Amino acid sequence: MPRSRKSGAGGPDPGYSGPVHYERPRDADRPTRKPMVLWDRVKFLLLLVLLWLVLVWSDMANDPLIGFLDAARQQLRLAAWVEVLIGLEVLRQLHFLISEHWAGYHRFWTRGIFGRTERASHRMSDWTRFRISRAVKWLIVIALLALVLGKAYHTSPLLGLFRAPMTIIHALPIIIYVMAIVSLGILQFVAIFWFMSKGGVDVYFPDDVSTRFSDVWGQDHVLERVKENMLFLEDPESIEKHGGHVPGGILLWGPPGTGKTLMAEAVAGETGKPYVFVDPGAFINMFFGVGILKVKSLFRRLRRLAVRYGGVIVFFDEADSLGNRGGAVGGQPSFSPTSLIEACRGFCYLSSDTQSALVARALSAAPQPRPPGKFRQMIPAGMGMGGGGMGTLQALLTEMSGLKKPRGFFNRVVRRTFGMRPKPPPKYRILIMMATNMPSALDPALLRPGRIDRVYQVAYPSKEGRRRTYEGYLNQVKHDLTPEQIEELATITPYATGATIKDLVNESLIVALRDGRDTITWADVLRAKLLKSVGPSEGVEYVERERHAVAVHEACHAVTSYRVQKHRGIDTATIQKGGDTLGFVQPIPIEEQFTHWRSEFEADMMVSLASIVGERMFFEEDSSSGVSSDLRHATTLALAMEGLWGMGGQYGTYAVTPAPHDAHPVADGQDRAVFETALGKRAEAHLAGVAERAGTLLKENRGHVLALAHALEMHKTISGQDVEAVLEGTQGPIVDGRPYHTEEFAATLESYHQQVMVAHRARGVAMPLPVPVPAGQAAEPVPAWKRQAIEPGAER
Amino acid sequence: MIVGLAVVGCIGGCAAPQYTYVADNADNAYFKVPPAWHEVNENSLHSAEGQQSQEGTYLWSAAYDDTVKPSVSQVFSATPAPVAYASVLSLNSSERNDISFNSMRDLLLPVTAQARKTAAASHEELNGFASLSDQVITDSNNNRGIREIFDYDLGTTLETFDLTVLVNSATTKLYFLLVHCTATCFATNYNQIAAVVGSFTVGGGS
Repeated sequence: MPRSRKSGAGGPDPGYSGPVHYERPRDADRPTRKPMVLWDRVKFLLLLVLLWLVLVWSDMANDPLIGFLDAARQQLRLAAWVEVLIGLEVLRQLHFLISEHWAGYHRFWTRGIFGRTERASHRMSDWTRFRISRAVKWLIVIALLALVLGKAYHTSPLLGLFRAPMTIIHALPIIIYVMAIVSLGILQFVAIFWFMSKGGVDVYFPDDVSTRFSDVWGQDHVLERVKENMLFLEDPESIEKHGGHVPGGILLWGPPGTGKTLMAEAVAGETGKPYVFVDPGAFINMFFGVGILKVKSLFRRLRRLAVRYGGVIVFFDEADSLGNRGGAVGGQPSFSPTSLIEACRGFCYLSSDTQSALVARALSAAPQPRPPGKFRQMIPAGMGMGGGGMGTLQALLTEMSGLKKPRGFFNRVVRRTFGMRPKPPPKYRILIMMATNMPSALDPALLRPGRIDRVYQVAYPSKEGRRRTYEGYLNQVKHDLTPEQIEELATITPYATGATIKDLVNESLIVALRDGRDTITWADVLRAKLLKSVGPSEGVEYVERERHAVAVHEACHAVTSYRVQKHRGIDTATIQKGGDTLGFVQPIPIEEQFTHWRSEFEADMMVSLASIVGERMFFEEDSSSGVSSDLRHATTLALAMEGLWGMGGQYGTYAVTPAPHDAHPVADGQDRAVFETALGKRAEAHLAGVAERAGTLLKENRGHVLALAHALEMHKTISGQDVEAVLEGTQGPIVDGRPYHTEEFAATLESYHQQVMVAHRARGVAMPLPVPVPAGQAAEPVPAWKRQAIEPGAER
Repeated sequence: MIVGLAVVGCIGGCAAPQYTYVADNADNAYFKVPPAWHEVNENSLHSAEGQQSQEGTYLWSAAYDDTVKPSVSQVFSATPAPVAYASVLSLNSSERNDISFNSMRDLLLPVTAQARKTAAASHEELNGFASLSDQVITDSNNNRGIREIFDYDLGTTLETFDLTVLVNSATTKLYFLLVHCTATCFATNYNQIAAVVGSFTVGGGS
């Protein structure tokens, strides 16, 4: 009888004399049963003997007269069932013992008896076998219960079984009492959780909402897609009969105020199905688990509505509140494939291998931990309150595409009791809409097809969209704007959204009402726009020489911009102090364009560098700290052009080397040694070249700079059209530019500048500086204290 | 395993229990009778003794008879084979005040002179009384009582009674064991009867 096989195909070499490993035989190869260890052989027997001894001890403990022998003899008669079990166990062990030593006996049982039984049982279907075994198990449990009850009641097992309900009925008061106490404790929590799992979800039925698709302006392309989804929901057969399925989820993402929520509201108004609005705060909970309860309760409700009304639309506003399993604490945007795709449309025409490699790299760029420091991030302790985390998101993911269990008590319990398979759940037609302005904060699992099938960007409206939106909102008020003016308004407000357009129209109305009119004019719109872009004045008056310096600084920007930035116009120029700026020149794109050119970037750099170059030119090589942000912009652009965009001396890009998480590779100044590198040196040379060109330009336009500076000193804030008026000698909306083109006035301005220079050199010396007024232009009312300084003979 | 089986086999094979152990676990009353004695039907016994006696309320009763067919009639009348009858009664407050050694002696039959005189006055046919033994008992569990052995002529034969009565220390329960048979039988089976009466224990169970 071979006991085992040697390992390897041919066993060890004939000359090998070391230890040999024999392969452990499989049970099927073994002619006899595998020998049992002693413990396995006796453990049940010992257990049963122990049980019998416990019964003997119980007898002795219950009766002080009885000795061990009599108790043992008594139990031999009374505990016959234990002896039967002991006998059966002995028989089993004998059977094993024989099987371990007698191959024929073992074969007879394994192949003859058990094998035949096995084959017979497998003729039945798995389902039947399962039901029979379940019935047998129940019978065994009932029989054992009957035996125990018979023993307890000192009656027959059958009667014991019938007496048990009576005992339970008698014990019912105490059972109810105990259950009431336990329930009271549990009910407190149930009640708290129930109350907390409510709220944050509103259901609207058709006709509850009056907003329609016609109220959404400027997002036609997205609107068409959303309509399409709605149509599929209303008539699922139209796609399902062709083998398709109704898209189940839409994500609307885009900047704030672009009309995502309005679009969802319009869906609610247009649809014939119930519309469920989920508040962004619905999943902010105090306790763990409440969010999960909320999600489950929400989807139970959705399924009910879907079955009852044939479909339902659910809208999650600010879906980023649902959180991201991989996201950092505090809602920092995570780096996901979405952001990669969003950042670069060029991604789509790479090969699939390259796409995979880039996605893998993007996913592996995990957020770097903060360096340990004095002020570590505090993690709130206690109840563990939180937002969409804590299992809420996982619950949502599961509900959106998890297993759908059969519905109803009859279906699930009664049918199963009778051995019938439960009916499969119906098709729940639930259209999930989500809106967010932080798509990268969403979990990638949420965005996979099957959950969110369609992702639509609700971007800033196009010029045509803005025009239509302006028309829409202006039609709700009285105005005398011509179509051309509305067109121009759309042009000069390039990043306006539905919300900002509505706000601008409203602000224009306020300006008109303040003037005692109820009709909005073009001037009201421009004034409202200036107020919105510049903000209200802080009421801070500059010292005259500083005002002139700021005006020259901004005028250098404006003149350079006017001369070289052909792709941009000037929206506003101001020296009004506000926030952290002393003044600014606000550019606007003249037309919508989606690519940027080297010439445009260089023009931008020139505009940025014009401030420092101009200050040095006008103030005898002196310059202020006010140029810091200009230099930062110019340096960022120069580094990006040289290092990222191939707009410098080399083709290679630094974008392929790892950068600090969530940072522009060159913008955040983390690499202090950048100017020691070849990249830095090239960028510096680039900046120097551009600065030189800016200097030449400003020298040629010295008079224009002083003229514009004067206009700014006079009016504080002027529009782009006024800048043009000053530089071209025409009449602007606020400034008359014609006097600036006379030689006398140009000389006056130069002389004024020289006076300022004297004051600038002698800092600390009180030197009042009169502001010259061009002919035909009214000066601002001069306050008494200022008049006193300007006119020495004036009344004190 | 084999040793264990041998032990079990020996215990089983050697003999049946030497005694039948009778226990009222609720009231902690125990005694043993020879295995040849058989239990009198519990329900018949209860119906014969009723719910309430003059001394208290029955809590538990058991009777064993040294015959093949035990009968309740043999418990309460003259019998040629030994009969053991035990009972536990609960005592209410008035019964507790009335209890005394004499009342214990007169629990089942008039034993004291006063009781016998009263019985004679009420024309009860109880003759031939003879007291064979009279003991006062205090056991290790602070139960107190009496043991009386006496004869009575029950008309045809002379019957000997061995009555043990105990009350617990709180005087809330009364326990008694009566063994009786004809005088000849009593003398013949005295050792057996003494073992039964000697085993009568109140308290001490778990």
